[in-house]
Amino acid sequence: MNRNPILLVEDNPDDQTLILRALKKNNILNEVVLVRDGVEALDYLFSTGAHQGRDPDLMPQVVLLDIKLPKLDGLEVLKRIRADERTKRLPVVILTSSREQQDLMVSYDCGVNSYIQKPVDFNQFSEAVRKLGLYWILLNIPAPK
Amino acid sequence: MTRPSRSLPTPDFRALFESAPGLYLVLTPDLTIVGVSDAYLQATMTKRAKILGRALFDVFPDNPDDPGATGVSNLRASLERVLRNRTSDAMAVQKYDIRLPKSEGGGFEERYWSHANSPVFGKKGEVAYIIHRVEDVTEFVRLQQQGLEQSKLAETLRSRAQKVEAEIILRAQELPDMNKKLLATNEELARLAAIVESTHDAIISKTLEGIVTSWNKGAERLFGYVAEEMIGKPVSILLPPDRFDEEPEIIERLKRGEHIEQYETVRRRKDGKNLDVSLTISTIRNSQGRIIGASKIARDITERKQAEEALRESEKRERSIVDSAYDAFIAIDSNGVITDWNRQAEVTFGWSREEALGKLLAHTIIPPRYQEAHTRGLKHFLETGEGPVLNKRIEIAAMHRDGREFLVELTITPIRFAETHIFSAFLRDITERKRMDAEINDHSIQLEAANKELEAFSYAVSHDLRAPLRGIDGFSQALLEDYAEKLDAEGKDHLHRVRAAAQHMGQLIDDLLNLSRLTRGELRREPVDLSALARTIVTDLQKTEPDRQATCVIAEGLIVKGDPNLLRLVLVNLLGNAWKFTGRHACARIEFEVTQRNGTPTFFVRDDGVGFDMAYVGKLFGAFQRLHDRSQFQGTGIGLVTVQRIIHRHGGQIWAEAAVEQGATFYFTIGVEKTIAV
Repeated sequence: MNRNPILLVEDNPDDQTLILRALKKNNILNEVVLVRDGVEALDYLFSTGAHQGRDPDLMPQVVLLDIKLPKLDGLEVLKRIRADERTKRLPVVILTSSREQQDLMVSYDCGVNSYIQKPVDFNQFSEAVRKLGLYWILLNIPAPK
Repeated sequence: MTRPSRSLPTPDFRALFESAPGLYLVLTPDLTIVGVSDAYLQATMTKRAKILGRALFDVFPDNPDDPGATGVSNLRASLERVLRNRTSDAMAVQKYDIRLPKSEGGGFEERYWSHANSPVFGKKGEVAYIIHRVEDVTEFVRLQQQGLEQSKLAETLRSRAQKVEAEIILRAQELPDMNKKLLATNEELARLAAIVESTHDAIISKTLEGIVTSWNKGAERLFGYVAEEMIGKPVSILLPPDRFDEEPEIIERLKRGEHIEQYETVRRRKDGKNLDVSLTISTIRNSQGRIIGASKIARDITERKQAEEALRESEKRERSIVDSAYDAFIAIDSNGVITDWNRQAEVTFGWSREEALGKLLAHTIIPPRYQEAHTRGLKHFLETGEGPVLNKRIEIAAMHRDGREFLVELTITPIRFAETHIFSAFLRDITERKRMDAEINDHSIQLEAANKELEAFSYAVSHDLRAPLRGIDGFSQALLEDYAEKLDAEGKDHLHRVRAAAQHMGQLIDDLLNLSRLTRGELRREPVDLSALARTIVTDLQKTEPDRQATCVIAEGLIVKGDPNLLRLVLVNLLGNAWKFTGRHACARIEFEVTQRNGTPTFFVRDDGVGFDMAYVGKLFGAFQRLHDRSQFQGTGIGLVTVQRIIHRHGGQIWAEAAVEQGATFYFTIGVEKTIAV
């Protein structure tokens, strides 16, 4: 199993807890790096700010990105990721409450790898996270460095 | 210093005239003798007092004993020529016998004369008098007749004769000239005759009794009678029965010497058809000037009459079209003078047609500050043919009679008309339209704002309202998983209910968002096979409950124009409802078919399920309204609202008929695409 971390960008503490619970429940044991806003997400990825000194070569296996975020929203974060040579091939999954067409279209236009709406029903939510982990950590082969 | 003018003594012209050596008569145009020379009196053996004031031919009649006498007629003809041609007229030698006075035994004496008649013009250029001058050539003629052997007599008369001969030669020289005139007259007559024959007009002459005396080819063509049929017959043959009174009236007018010019009437052809004709009738006088008949020129004006009638009709039609136009119609000439002004122009600008016609356009509807530009533009066009505002739709300010200004929309079209131009325009007061445009614009802005707000709201609902529900549900589940041994059955049941409520609310939010999406976005219009859609949906339903006994009847070929995704949603809801509300019956029948209502194809989904009480039909299409207990039938109460909104967006209608436990039928129509009338 790939041991690269999962970068979770999520500001809602309930959702943080529920996602972590679902991951644990589904035996996804990768380290989960939790950041709470868009700026911090970019700091982590580019080893800047609070994350200065982090090994910049260690990229997450997948980024789980909420859209509605403090400071810099998820779509902007996605754009910055795609615009940078170091991260442009990084798998990014939007995990959001929104099913607005506009959000869907912008996300795909910006090169998101997958778009998942968080279900209200926790059982369904848990199932979604399980499949997500299975796919992005076990099945998907990331781009070579 | 002025030189005193020396006035000559006025001679006594009468005395001079009367004692002149020549033989002179002075005649008035009606041939009354008003002056005579002494020599004339002497030569004709008359007395001045006896002949002055008398008619010429009373005084000098023809010799009754000479049956071949031509004196009176030839002299009259000569005098008439003078009157008519206003030139002198000469006669070489004329036998004209003279009555001897009673004192000399009465009777007539043979005499030969050479005449010359000359006009004397009055102040207005009219022939006031004729001077009749004669030479007595009797002796000369006799001499000629007696021969030259009477030399003695000849000798005695030689000097006199020479003088007379010179005179004769002079007269004779005038003869070829007269002959030439006569020849020319004859040619003229021949030409006139040819014209009469060849003209298309009918030329007829008739006596004053109305008897036809000549009948040209034109008359044959026009009336269908040949000359042989008409000459000698009354011209009244040509009168239609309702015009019998006309002929006597015409004759009366002719007798009074009137000339009838272009008298429009109707005449009847031989074949019985009536003709519109224009008559010009002139009197014919004999050489004595007496009216002896009339010549009539008849022209066929049927075509002209018809053309005039057609023109009047078409003008009337045009006027009524122009008058009934919704727009004001105005035409001006190249001087800017109004030449046409329809009824709507009267309404729009406050000037009546009578008032507007003939006025300058600049002074009626053009606001003062634009008048100069208008005049300049008109002038520029007439000089260069350039008109930047012509032949295209423009909006300009116009002025009502009361001085009020308003915007009009118009297109000015110049029409070249002979050597000048006419400019015409339909104008429309667009004040109201401008106001409405502004209003629509305002509304659009408001609507856009409202839509933006709605979108923001939907976004908030979508994102923010769902997150707490996830917390409620997720942590309830966590409680159930992690603290199961600490909760009794009732506690667990409460948690299950919390989760069910949270999930239901999640569903409600999703449905509401879907509903609001229906009102946004473009509505597609493409052919949609409702039959095929319905089959797929029913198949899916049957898969969910394969054990149910349900007969589904779907009509073939139900194809409409609409939005495929939305229409699918309609059928999903209606067929889904039918499936759901027949669920408690042992066997069910569901139909999807079409019928005609008021000439409109009306689709319907019918089931034989639980139905509903028509008393609550009003609640059927309200959001979150349910006619059934949720414990009996699942649902959020948003399905029919969604269906109704889709149908309405397509311009259609939806309604339902049902009875409790006797099934329900939902009817709907799909509106046709709205076309904009041109």
